[in-house]
Amino acid sequence: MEQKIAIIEDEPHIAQNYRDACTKRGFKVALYNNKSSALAGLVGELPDLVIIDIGLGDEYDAGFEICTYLRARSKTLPIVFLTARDSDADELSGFRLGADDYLSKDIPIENVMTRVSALLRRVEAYRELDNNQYEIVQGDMSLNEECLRVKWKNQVVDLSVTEFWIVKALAVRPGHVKSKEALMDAAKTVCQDNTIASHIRRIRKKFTGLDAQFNQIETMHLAGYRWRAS
Amino acid sequence: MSIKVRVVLFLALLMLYPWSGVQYLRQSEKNIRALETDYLKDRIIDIGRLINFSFNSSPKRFSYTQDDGSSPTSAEGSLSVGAEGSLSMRAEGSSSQAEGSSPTITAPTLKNNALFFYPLARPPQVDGYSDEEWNDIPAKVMADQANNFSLSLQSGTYADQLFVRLAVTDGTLQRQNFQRSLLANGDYFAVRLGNNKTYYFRLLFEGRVNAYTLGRGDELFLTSDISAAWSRSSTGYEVEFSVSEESAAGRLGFLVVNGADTHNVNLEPHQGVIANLTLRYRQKDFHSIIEANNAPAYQFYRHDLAKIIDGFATPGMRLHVVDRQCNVLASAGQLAIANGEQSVSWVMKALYQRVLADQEAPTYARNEAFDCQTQWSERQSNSGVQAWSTAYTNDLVSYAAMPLSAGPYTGNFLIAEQSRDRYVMFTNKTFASYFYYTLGISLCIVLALSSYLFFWSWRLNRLNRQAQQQVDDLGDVSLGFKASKSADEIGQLSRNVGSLLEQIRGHNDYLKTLAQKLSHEMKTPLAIVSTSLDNIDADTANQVYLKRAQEGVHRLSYIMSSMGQAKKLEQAFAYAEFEAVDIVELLTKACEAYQHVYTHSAIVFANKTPQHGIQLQAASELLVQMLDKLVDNAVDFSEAKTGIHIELLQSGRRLTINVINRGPLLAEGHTDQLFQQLVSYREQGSDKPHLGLGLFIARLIAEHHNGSISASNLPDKTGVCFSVTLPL
Repeated sequence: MEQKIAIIEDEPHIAQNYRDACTKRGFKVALYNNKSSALAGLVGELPDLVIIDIGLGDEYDAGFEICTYLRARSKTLPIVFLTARDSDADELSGFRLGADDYLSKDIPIENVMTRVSALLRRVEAYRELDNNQYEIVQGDMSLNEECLRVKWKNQVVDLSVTEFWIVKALAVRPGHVKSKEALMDAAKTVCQDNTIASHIRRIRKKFTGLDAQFNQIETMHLAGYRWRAS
Repeated sequence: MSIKVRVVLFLALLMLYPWSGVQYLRQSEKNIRALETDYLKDRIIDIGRLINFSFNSSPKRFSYTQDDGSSPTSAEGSLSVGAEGSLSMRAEGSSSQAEGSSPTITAPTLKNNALFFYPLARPPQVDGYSDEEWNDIPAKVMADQANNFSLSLQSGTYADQLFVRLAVTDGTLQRQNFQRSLLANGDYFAVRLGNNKTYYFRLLFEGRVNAYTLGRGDELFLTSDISAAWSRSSTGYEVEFSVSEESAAGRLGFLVVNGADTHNVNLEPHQGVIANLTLRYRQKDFHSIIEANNAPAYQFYRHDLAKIIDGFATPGMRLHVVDRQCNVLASAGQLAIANGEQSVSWVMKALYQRVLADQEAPTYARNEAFDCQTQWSERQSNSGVQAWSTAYTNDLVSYAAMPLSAGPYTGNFLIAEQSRDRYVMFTNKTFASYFYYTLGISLCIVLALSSYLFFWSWRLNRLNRQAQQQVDDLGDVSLGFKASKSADEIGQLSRNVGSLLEQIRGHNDYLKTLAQKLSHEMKTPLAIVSTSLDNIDADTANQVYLKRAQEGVHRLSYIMSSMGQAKKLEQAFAYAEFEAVDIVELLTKACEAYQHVYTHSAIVFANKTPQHGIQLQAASELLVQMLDKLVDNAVDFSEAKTGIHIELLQSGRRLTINVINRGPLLAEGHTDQLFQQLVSYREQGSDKPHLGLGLFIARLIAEHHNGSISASNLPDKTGVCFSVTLPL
């Protein structure tokens, strides 16, 4: 079945480029260039994935409002923010509103498509709930790559796609130091050192939110990070 | 020169004001002095006329008719006074001349052989011993130098008595032989009075001596008309005698004979005689007999006249009547004004003397007698009314003189002395009040002006300080400049500075956020390019160009995100949590890690604190990030194989981390700018772009930890040291 992606982006050239890239990969794309048209277009059947720019025209936070609306309608709908706004505050708001990923616009289109595929696969995986064949167990943690789901001591840790990939990259080989560049590659993103640091910070917070004793991710100054072998 | 110094100099100009006042006072003092002299002249005319009138209207009141001392008496046989000042006796006749021939010999004469009797405060005892009473009386010295024989004469009057004291210097005192009846057998003296009698006194026993007159046969007759006394002194002997004015009858002369050797009574008649008389010598029985002609008229102090002129004397004024020989016949009044001193404080007096007086300081307690010779004798040739002023001792005194035509005093002069005391006191008071007023006013002006100007200066300084405080070492302008609300120029300046600072701040903010804004704004077009490139299905031939375009876009994208890094860091600060970090462990571990990365340089950590572990409240990630930047910078600039030294130092509550590398030095004066955004002194051409953000980020992190960062060349000029100082 042809999967449907909605792209809400006010910059026509970017929107069209993404549409073309998606179409090329066999997705059906609906473009919206402002909040009202998007809300109107999404009233009926929901698409399989939504890519949203935060600022739409004059509406500074339109993307967040759309995200809120969509998340209210569906808990599983993958929502990806693709925006030029890269401040921590915006990123945090995006995740709080239930986004599955938050991407900067300078990310190569290929990396966006990888995330899109991964998220769509996760939706599929959810449908086959008992499918544990992709489960990787590492000490107290289990990762399901299909569902992009991490469990720590049997509790689900709510991670974004980027974060999931970072955790996966670290946890698959405990004790190995992963440089920031390696983590960037793994997360299929382009960013500054600080961004990786803030990702790591957020990941730690999410784990320690469930388990105050969590200290598996070790900072190797300058070199990078590693997963402490338990 | 600061404003304050100029203000002080300017205020010093105000001192011209009292100075000009002082000049004015000086001038007016001179004028007052001149006026005073004129005034004195008027007064003496009044007084003189009154005295003249009082004598001329009752001429009988004063019974003495005095001859002028200088006019020779017209008595028979008298000799005129000649050979002034000469005391040598020239014998024109010889001792061998026949008896009775009465040869005329020029007697020792004096410049002024008339005696003047000065006023005595008390009557001295006539006992031959000098009394205190004589102390104030001027002495007249007469000498026979050829015979080493001299005497000092003092004469005074008290009530109607005349006193004379003779201190005789005589190395060869020859007492009279009382068994002999002749005079010329020792020392003796004689007094001749207006009754034309000569009284001889023989020096027998000390104490009272009797007077003898010479009889017709030259025999000595004892008489009690006059008494005298003598006593020996260390240099000779002293004689005192007194006589009433009545018996003296206006004339008094004396002679003192240095007597002959007892065994050689046949004296040269002219030897050893001092007298104010013209003498005649004759011989009898081989003894010389000395006789005198008419005694000279004497002059004496007139107590009665003094009482009259005393009525005219006013405080600070003295009146004198002097004769042509400059004898003061009467004096009244005092130059000093009683209690004149107390009315002027010593401060004022000292100031007056320093500032005002162009002559010597006035003395208030002056008791000097009137110095007739100095003040008057040269002026008496002018017989009109005169007025002058002169320095007298150490004060200025005004004088006025007027000839009298009053009975017995006709031809004498009335002289008035007016001390400056009165107007010194006047000017002193004027000066004092002027001084206090000027001082007060000047002080008020100085105070008002200086406080006003210093207030201005203070405001300017405050503005200066405020403006300086707003701008930190790195040129950042902080908020909070409070512009003055005052409407004057300084207020305006303050507001202008305020708005200027605000503009600079705005500009700085703009510059700071420029990178962030640029990075944000350019992301969208960059995204268009990059997504467009991603969508191109290039054929093999164009693949290489596509690849290049994508690389360029990547690089641009890297630059864009780098430019936003500082902003990101500030966001990171918001999330960074401070925790206890063992700085020693952190540095040790970090150095190990760096060693893995920078394999070409040795990175050595040296803990130079005494402790092995130092707990610091910090965000370890940020600290490491800062260290990354510093080490990265140090490695880039270090010479090959020299290594990087990281030191940890502690002084008090401060920790210092030094990152030292050997290599090119920093340009002097650029060390602070190094830590600013987008400043880089690297040479171009490295593979990755340097935006001058590394050290800026290091600075932000150091400041976030309340610390500071600085860069300096090593003392030995072999490299560079970056120091981060953090509070414990």
